Amino acid sequence: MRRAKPWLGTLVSIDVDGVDEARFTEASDRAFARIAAIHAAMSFHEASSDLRAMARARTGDTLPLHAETCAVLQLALAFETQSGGAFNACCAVTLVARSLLPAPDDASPPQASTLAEAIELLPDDRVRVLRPAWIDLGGIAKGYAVDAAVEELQRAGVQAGLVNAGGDLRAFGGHRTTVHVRDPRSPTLALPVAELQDLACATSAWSLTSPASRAAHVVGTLGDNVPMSVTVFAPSCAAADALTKVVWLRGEAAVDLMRAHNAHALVLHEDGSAHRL
Amino acid sequence: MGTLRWLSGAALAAPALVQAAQYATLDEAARRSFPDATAFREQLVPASADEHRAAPWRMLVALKGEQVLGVVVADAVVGKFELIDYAVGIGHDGKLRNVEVLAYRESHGYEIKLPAWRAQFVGKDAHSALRVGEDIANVSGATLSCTHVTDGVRRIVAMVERLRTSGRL
Repeated sequence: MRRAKPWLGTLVSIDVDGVDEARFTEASDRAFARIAAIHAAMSFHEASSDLRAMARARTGDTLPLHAETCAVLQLALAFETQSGGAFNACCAVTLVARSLLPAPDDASPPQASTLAEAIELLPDDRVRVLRPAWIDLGGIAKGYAVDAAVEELQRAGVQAGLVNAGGDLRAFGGHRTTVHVRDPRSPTLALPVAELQDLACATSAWSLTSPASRAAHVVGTLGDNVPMSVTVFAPSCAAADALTKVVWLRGEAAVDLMRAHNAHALVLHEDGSAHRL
Repeated sequence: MGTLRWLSGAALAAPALVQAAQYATLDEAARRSFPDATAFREQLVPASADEHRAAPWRMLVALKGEQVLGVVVADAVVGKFELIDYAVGIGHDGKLRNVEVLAYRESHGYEIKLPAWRAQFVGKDAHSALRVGEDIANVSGATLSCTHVTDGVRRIVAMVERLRTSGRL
């Protein structure tokens, strides 16, 4: 059974094995409701989101946040530390400057350049703003939403299946799938790269709608031989999502962190070469 | 513990693949939008209901006995690389209840505008995956945006609101 809805700025699909229609509808309703809540809390586009509330806050303010936002911020802080700053959720300023995010008209001027400088997580789903920051969780929240949807499906009694949010995907319960990766130079071409089971995957690639802007969505200092596409396979989709940015910026130097997360990567270059990390 | 098996010989000179997937029929989308409905009545909404519209909309009116619960409107949007068929469920109170993607297909562009191509989606069973080249649900890479769907949903909500307030529903 399968179903798809537009969420997280893309098409989110759920495929499950071995359930009847009534159970599937109920389970997928729950999974999509969870995705919708994550979308609403963590959209930089929506003035009512937690991210925009943090962008409006002043130094010293304490804000109540959704539990989901706190969970993602905690993951983002861990990846920032582990990657030596390659994973950076305080990149919204740059993304606004590149017109990839709308400029918020209600925000304080951003001061913090890292998440650790910007916030301190407090008990009971609250956060203290240490320095105002424009936080974008686009590099991890979609993966987190996929993991959350898998959790909801399992809780509702679904044994096996696949959740796919525009290519950030996770197969669970023995569901086997072949993953194809788009060729960013020609977006309707895709090549089969791996078969996976009980594993997640995410890809970061050149902007599809404007190939000229290339890696506009990646913020940081790029080394030589810049990739055009990075796909990471990891047990959780949040980790796969976050690690694509680290591999993009650090290349081979990201291998230790990858192994610590039981992750593997496929990097495609413009000259047509591909290599695995 | 998960397993990953690399497919050897993966090269960028891979053949062209067309991603296509059928997710639901309009009837399934209608039942998911209005699980309490006892019947659905089909109705066409003239294109004049929306100034940007050239063709009539297909709409199902959800009924519970004589009571109207709401409507489900079918629409399609064409993007740069993709065509998305979707359905929007709107309650009798005018509130959006559900958006369901019915079918998705991407290509190099031109053929998705052809009626013959479009016709192949009609009446397909949701559980028999389309075999257009290959039914690939799992393409990773630069994400295709659903902006067109979001815009389409907004237009449909506004159109249904006009029908409602003018007593045509």
